[in-house]
Amino acid sequence: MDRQMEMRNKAAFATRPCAVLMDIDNTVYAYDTAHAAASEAAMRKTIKMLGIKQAEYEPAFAEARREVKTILKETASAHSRLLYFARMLERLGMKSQPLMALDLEQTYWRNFLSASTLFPQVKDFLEDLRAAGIPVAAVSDLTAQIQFRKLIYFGLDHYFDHIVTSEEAGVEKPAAKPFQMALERLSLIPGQLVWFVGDDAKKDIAGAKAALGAITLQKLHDGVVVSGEADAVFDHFRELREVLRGSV
Amino acid sequence: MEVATAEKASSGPFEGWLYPQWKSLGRLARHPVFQFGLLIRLALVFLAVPKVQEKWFVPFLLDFLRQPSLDPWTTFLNSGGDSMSFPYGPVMYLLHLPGVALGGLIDQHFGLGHFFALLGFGLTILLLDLELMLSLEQILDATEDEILRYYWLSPIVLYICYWHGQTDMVPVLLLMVSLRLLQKLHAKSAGMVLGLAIAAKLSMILPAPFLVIYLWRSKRLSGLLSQFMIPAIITAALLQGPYLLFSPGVKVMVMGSPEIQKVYQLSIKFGDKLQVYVLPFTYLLLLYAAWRIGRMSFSLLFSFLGASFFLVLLLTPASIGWFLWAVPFLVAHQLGGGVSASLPVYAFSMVMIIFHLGQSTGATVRLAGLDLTAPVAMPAHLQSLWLTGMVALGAALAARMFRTGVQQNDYFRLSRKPVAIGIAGDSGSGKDTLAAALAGVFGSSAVASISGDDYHSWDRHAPMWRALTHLNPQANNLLAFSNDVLALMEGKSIVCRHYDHSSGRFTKRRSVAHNEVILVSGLHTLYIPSLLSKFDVRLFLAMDEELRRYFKLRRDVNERGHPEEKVLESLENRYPDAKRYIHAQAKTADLVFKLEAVNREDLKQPERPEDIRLRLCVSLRRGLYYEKLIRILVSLCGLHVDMSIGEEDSVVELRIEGDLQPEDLALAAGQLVPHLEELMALDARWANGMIGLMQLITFVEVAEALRARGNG
Repeated sequence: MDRQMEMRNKAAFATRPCAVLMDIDNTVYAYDTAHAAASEAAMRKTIKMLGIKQAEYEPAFAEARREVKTILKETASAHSRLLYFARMLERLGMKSQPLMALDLEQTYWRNFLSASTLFPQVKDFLEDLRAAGIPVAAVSDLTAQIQFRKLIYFGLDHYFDHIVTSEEAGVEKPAAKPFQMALERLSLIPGQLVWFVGDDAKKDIAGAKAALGAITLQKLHDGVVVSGEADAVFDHFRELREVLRGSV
Repeated sequence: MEVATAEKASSGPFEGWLYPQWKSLGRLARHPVFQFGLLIRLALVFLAVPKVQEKWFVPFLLDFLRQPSLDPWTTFLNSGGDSMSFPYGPVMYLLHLPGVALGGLIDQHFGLGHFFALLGFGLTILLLDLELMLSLEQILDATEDEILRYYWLSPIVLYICYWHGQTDMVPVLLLMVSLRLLQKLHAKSAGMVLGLAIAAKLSMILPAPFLVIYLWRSKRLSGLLSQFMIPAIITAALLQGPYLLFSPGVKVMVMGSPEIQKVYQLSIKFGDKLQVYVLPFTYLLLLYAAWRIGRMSFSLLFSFLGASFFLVLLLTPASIGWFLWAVPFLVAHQLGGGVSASLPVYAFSMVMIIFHLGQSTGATVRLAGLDLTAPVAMPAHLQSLWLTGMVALGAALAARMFRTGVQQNDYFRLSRKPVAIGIAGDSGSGKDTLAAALAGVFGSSAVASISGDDYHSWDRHAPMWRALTHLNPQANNLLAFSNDVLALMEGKSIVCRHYDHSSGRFTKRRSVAHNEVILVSGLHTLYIPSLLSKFDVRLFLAMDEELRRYFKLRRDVNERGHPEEKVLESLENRYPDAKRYIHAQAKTADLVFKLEAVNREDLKQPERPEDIRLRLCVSLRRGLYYEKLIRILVSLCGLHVDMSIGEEDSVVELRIEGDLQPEDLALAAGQLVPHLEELMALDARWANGMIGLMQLITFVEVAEALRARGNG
């Protein structure tokens, strides 16, 4: 009764991949719910600490975030919650408040983590890969510090042979650099068959295709824009495991 | 000490209900098992017309279109309706009315008989069915696969709701919602919803006393009892009361329902004229058993309710709808139980359905024009055999549900024997601070504290102290100390004197009531071999010697008013005894905490103690949980943790540094201790910094020790 996933390019899955590359955020867990819970918690804390109104907080935060992003563009630090909060506190007329900014950053991330759950069977999929002897690398944006914390929180740290973050690549996906770095660390050369599993149509699917010519698999759930060029799309890691079983 | 403030918005009791639940329906809808179960349901709703709905429920509800009334029971009876039609309360009526009335209007318009009215009834059941599944998924914390397998494909649900056509879905759903709210400690809303359940079907009054006992017998929750009971009584009384008192129709249709007579059908003859009714007898015994268990965890309450319902079912010629009551409990029983749990449940379901096919009415099949409403003809002997099989399987299931429920009940262990935590450490190592901090987590109403200082042999001004230090066991009445601790562990209260540190004298004797958590602190807590084995958790507080001197000087000089030279002198004099009698106890501890300064230079500024950055070294003797602990401390709390295996085998040593807020600890505790709400105070107070970290690790250790107690 198991449903097959939508395979647009069946032939691509006939061969065993030399490695599997994966995105983390919104691919192995749902980002939006975690982010919403974390943002809410940070907002409540700020409102309480500073005695301000939500109507004051929201524009200040949004402006601070936009400002940081404009300056840092497509780099890992452009996502830094610490910078957003620090800048927001300044915008609210508080000058620099390092302690408060760090506290808000930690508030954000602890609530983020405790509100995030791995998608079902992610670990089983990674175990299948390990049993099949296929190496795995994570290719993800954001800073190493928080990405490592996430992997440890989920208990995924032992499954990945290599982890490449945009912080060390100096540039974010869909740029070719992070993908190429992962390939190098896996001691593979361009042209060898790799799979890329991700959620973002542009950054992950188009990026991996352009940089590595990877076979791309897109994880779909609420809020994900379906990619036209992914070789397969799937809802549940159960389906991905089926496909893996078929190709090894 | 800071109190952990909730960072989340004060979530309303119904947060997470309906909207997010139905959103998750989108996720389920893609699951093949869901689609399969839905297909069966829709096919049954469209094709099967259950007799009870056609003959009783729908005509009763349709009466609304003819003669709308605030008392439909009386108007229905007065216009010659069948008195068996609707033995339920107003909530049941209101929930079913929209679907049936709308269908009835369409029928009237097109002249279709009762086609759409029946469809309306069936689809209402389907909606409630979906809601019950989504609620159970939350209450039982089940995965999508589990809830679909055990609930959505349950033959009992399909048979009772869609073939036989009973409507017990409503009270069962309301009872589950009430339990869920109670689990989340929303006592008022839980009471209100239970009131609604009773106002849907009177027999929902049966579980109510179990919920009352659950709250009443728990020290943590007893404060919620009136908050729960008052709304329950008011809601049920307001909705149901007027009908029961003043409606002649309700008197006949609800109170006079043959259902109620079933309570008395199974009885044992007692002499010539009298008899003992088995169902009320068993029910009372079960209530007594629940009361005797004392403090129950929520999961035990759940298993206990399930097992009780089951026994009640088996001991009465219960109406078939009652079997639906057992379904949530059967689902819970199967979670994580594997085939050995599922197989008996399936066997029971099938035997129960076969038995009832011979007892209860069925449905007509629409397109095929088949009339399968009459019970299947079966010889009486064969029916009795099926009944025997059903009762036997059911009794076995009830026994197993009860047993696994009891086994999984952390608190069942706690209610038999309090949890005892022994804290030893040198003078000035922070024993009292830690004991107070731990009381903040377990809740001071659940804690009995006893301090070794109260058992010093003489007060401070006695001449004997020139010969002995406090650290010497001979200078303490350790026998009395040990007897008092043992008495508390056995659940007895004690009377002891109290040593006042500021005056150095003993105060009047005072009594210490026994309690669920016993905190024993003192210089010699782990020195006495007969006590040692009785503690659930043995803690030793060490402190880096320089840091200890720093703190002791500050405390004894500033807080207790001793001269500085005397304190220094006594520190020197005490060292040999400390080494011999106190430090040696660390070897027997399960958990050793040692505070040290991150930077020793800080200790050179005696006037700024708040500037000393501290690091906590922890030795764990039996903690296989350290792996998870490190993960959570590093990932969730953002701390730095160094781990090494100590010189002694299997002792794990952690060195932990970093900033820690009470909110970090509250979240970390939730991740590390499953069901922590059963162990923790409702208003748990987490400290910040290293004291908070000690609270957390001790709390995890206690939870582990309780679990080990059950296995031992």
